[in-house]
Amino acid sequence: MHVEIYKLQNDGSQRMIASCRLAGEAAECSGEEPFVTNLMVEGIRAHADGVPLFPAEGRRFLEELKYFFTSGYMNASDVLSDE
Amino acid sequence: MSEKSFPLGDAKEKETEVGIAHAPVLPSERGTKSDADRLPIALPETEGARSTRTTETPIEGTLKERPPTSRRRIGWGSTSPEFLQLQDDGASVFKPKDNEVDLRDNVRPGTFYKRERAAYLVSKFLGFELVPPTVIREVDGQIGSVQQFVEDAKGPYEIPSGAKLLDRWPEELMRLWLFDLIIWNSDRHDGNLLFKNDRACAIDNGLSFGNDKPRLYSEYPGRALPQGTVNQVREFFSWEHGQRILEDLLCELLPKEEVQAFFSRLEQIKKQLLEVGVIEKVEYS
Repeated sequence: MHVEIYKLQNDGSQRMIASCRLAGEAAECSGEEPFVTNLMVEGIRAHADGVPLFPAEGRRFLEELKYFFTSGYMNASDVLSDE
Repeated sequence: MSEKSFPLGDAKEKETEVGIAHAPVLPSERGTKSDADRLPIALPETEGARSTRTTETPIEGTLKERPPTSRRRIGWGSTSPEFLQLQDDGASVFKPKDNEVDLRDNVRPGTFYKRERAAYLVSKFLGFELVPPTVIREVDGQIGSVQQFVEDAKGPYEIPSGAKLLDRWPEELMRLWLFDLIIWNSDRHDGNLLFKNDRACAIDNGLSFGNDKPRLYSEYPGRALPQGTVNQVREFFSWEHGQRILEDLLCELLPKEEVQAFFSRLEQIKKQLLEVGVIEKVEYS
């Protein structure tokens, strides 16, 4: 499973800047720097309670990405299958 | 958009509209600063200058009136915001009321778009210029908030980690902290904060003003705020006419008790700034 993260461009198109996928129990992210390093190091916050979440938390981290990046400028996909 | 887009340029541009004086010595500074050390401040604005805050700006007019030429969902799912291109010029982010979902105990779906507008008004009236121009309008029969799109802005994750935001832009983040306390933001984080031209842009303010647990980006209780921010707040406190207008505008958008809580927070901030010179703690109301 994986999540794609997009950045909104000035013309309204979206460019994929990172992808996070489940590797074992943890999530691994790849893509543009410094976005990926910051995401891996800083983590995100759960939308319900603000609890910090990191890639080591695997599936939960992936599931929460779409709630964290909701501004429109950055958007995360639903969790997608790897097919 | 043809006029200068958000965020506005150098703060010095505003200083040419008003006189310059030196800051009064705050209680926290007594015995520590001489006149030479204190920063120049802007004197209270004239009513003419203040009126720009109470009237609709050209950008607001554009966002409200220009027909959309294209509408494109940005994210995934039916609740995502939309990129709205406006005729002749201008791009915006449209958040329809219909797309709002249950995210908080007190701020209920169906109200987020009004809170986006309310947050912009607070930013505008305080002179903080943190929130891009935001209006409410109908697009193809759907009502929602429409906010000016900020081109070439970067989110915190796009900024090299060596340049820690707290070190690089301390004044911007302190101002953001104060703003988020004032609007009682329950959702400030790296995902809804942008930077452009060394200025912070506070986007995604729809989960504000209600009595949910605040979530702030960073906190500075007991720290001296930037003099410019203090001046802006004090100037607003002395502008009774502006406060009444803002109150009326907020009452059109928010429940009365939330507007009362908002002004109660401002009173708390005013009291602490005048008595202690710093803000230690702010309660919801």
